[in-house]
Amino acid sequence: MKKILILSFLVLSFFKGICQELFPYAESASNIPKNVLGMRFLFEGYKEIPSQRQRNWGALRAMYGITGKTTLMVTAAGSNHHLAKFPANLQNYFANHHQRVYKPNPYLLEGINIYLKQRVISVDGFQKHLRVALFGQACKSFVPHDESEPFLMGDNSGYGGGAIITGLYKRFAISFTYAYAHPLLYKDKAQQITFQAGDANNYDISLGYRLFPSKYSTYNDLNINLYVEFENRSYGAAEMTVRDALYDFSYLKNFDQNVYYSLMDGKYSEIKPSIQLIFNSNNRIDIGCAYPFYNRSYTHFYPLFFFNIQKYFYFSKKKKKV
Amino acid sequence: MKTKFFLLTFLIFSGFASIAQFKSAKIGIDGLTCSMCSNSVEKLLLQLDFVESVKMDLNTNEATVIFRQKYKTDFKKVSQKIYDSGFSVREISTSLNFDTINLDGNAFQVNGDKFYILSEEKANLSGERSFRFLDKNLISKKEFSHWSYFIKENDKVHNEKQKAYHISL
Repeated sequence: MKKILILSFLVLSFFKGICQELFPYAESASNIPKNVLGMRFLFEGYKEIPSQRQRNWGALRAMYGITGKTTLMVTAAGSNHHLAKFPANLQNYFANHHQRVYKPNPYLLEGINIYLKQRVISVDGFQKHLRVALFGQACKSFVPHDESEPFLMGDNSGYGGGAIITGLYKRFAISFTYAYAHPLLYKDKAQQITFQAGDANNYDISLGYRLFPSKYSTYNDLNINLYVEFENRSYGAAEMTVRDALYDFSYLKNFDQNVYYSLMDGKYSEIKPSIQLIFNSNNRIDIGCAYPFYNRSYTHFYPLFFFNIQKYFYFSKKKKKV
Repeated sequence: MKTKFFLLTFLIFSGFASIAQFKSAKIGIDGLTCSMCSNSVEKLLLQLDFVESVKMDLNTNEATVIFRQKYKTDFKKVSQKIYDSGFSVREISTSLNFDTINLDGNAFQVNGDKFYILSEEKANLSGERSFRFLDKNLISKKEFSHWSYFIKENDKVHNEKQKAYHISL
């Protein structure tokens, strides 16, 4: 009840304020301009429980406007979330890998994601717009993901897609994203292990508000934008086979419950408040965190902190002098 | 020798006279509010070889474009840059000195492109007059729909070499 009150207060305070749709987490239905290259560094970190080890995830993303309506993004992600391969002693691994006694994971290249977004509907007006975009993405992963919830930004090889609806009105922006993700079967032929993560459905809502400036004087004005994003996700259970026999996770209930639930099906909602600073109308910094709102995600612990750094690069030909 | 020289000077001057008559244009842009978006529009407009400079009003989302002398101004390319940035044109307005322009009914030619005046029955033009475009993507979709029938019919007789523009005074 308290949560609902806080939520409705946040939503109402946003509406009352009546740019912003440069969401730190979600993609909006708008695109990067034609022939413009954007580079973004993404970081996510949290403390693992109970080991109290820092878990870090980082990615470098190149974004390019093929046309004014088509955006291509390529993301390479790395982290210390995984081992290069499943270890021989699986029982020890699943029961203890969140414990201090278990050896820490190395930093590895997780995977490469390719994302294509096409804007299909645009209704533009004076300082407002309503836009709809469709997107598809695919990921090639190089690590064994050991949880049911899939992530196509490195954790799982797989594909997915969905639709985005974004509305902008003066200083306020709202966006709805539906995304489907299908992870592919992970195979370790040498050890005869297969791992299938679950399919996932996302229903995300993002709200943004330009706090400052209320009136521009130059491009150098510092922009401060506030965001609240709600990630709502459901996913299927994981299925693992070892030497063609189904691997039973039920013993984990007596060891690490977090690990047990991370292999089952589930649904959760997360709230992601964040603040964004834009310098010189180009250099963008986002800082935010994630808290569970309804159930929780078992792929990470809370609070999760994230930040992004982004810049656009414009190409221009040198003009001939007359 | 003398005739060649005269011919050359005549050609150069006639060339100057028929080109670079547009000094500037005002573009109202729809669908954006923040300065990062305005910055993208400005950067893309500056990629056009006939654009000298762009001044953006960040609060009204209006761009004032100054054109380079001796280059042919192509308003359809200007509009394309706005759409390439991911936004829409609300209005493009510019001005001409009509003292040097011969009116043929309700139409006239500038730099090989044909301009049709749609807003008035019989235009009587002199001196510097400003006008706005009515063509597709040079004005909001809603307003274009008022004029679209006539413009589409007229466009059929024109091509890339001789563009047709439709204007309102």
